[in-house]
Amino acid sequence: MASSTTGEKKILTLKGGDNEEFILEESLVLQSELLKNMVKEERVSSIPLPSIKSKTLVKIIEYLKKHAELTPSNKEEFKNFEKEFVNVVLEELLDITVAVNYLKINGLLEFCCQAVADRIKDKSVEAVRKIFRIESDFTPEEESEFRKETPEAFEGDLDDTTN
Amino acid sequence: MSDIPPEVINDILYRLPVKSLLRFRCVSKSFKALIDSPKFIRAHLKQQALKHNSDVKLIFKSHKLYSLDFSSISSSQLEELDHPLKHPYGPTQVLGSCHGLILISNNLSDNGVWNPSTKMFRKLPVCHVNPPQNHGPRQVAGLSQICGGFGYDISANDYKVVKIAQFCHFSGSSLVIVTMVFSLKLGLWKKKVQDCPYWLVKEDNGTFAAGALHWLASTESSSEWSPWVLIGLNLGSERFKLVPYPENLGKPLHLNLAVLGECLCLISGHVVVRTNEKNHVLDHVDIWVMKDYGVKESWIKLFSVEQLDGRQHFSFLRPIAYSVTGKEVLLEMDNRKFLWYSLEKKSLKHSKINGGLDFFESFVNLGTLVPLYGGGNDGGENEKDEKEKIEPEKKDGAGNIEDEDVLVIEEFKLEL
Repeated sequence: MASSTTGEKKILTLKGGDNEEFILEESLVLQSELLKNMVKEERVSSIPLPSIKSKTLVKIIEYLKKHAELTPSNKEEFKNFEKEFVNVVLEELLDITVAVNYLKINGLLEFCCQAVADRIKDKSVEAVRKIFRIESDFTPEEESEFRKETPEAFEGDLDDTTN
Repeated sequence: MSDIPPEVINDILYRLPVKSLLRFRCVSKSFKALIDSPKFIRAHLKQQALKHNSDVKLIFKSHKLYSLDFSSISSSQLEELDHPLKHPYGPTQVLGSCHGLILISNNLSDNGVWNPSTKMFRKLPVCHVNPPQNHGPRQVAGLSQICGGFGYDISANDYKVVKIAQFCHFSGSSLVIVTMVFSLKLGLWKKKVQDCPYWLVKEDNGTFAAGALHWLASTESSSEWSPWVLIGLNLGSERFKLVPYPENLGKPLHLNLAVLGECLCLISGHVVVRTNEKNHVLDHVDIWVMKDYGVKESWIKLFSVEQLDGRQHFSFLRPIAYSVTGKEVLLEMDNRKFLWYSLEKKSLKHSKINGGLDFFESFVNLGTLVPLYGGGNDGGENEKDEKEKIEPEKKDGAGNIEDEDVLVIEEFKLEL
């Protein structure tokens, strides 16, 4: 069935991973290349997104709404919103980044990746492993080789926290 | 194994400074493979060049080499660079820089290319520039100039060190230029002899922009005042080519080259001629930028700086870089201080950057992972294999320029 209409506006349902449904105007999701394609080409009115947590989806919809309201006069306000948007714990920011990558919202993806990069740049190796959920496959001997090879990369106050 | 898609990890990592990346190579084998891959190194370099506030250092060459963080330029401290050619006697020269690599030299036999971010260093084999022996029926006389330079060959994705010696003929008015080019990818010096109707007027190192090294040259041998031309040595073809001047350059007293935001730049210093005044004091300096390389019409006068009052007056200005915001240009004044020129307000202000050095030359250097065995591409990895494949370049004497290519194999053996 084609998407239902109320006046001119088409309505779309997004189903998050926790079975929560979000009903919103179709025009909002067009910033997502993936959703745009599904809506325009396949003419669907309900899209299941089981890999994206509802919490993450709420954040992304919040961004899409703000972005749709963006005009030359509220640019500053939008910039502040963006700053606040990425001001969440790293784990959540990564969830958002992965979801945005899946949905192909290019401008936001770039912004999120830069935010993650800025947050991890002074992290220790251990912290980065935890953040990216990676187990080391190097032996302790190999690891100490790295430290000998480029000692300055391991100098300074490195941050062991993961948030 | 991480559940984060590799393309996301890639997209995050290539925004990081070199120091973080060298540390994160230790995270896992897949991280190391990604960070070491030529594709990643290129993406990282591109990202660095694009962003204003990335991992950029301002490097000072005084008696020693120093560096300063460009993103926090007025607050950060000067750090001495512990480079591999450091020695207690005399200064180390910087003959060029490109993509985060710098060419350093103590003397003719002690040269090398260094990446200050990764600390990788490659010493160059000694290169002797001899007059050409069999260059036509004419005899070749004295050496007139030796210049050098360092840059990137776009076509071969290779970094090249250039040494140029110019010899005069006994008869006739033409000159012979011997160009020695060291390819980092191939690991050898290549010699090329060509007739060149232009005299290189200064012993300057070539200014690298758009895949070519540039010099100002004269069309006559003796006169400083003969019309100057701008010539570029393309690092792919290794040939000289005329590069157009701006239309309304005027008649400058000084003319110098620089690079600003990857564009070739002309600095022209003008005087107002007053009678009974022997000392020329600059009246103003124009900074020209060629926005679209090789296109005469694309030269624009970016800005003009009026002489400062009284004791503050400058005799030389050189643009160094755009500011982090892109709205200002950092100018080096008389090798001893910095000025900021605001493109919006069209005004100058003194900079707070203080290295505590009396006399220096400065340039910006990107933080990159560019390796020294190649151009950071897929071809650079099997250096040894590449060396075995070398064949001398074919002669193709286009126009009236004669070429003579010789691979300097002895030098290359010495290196092994």
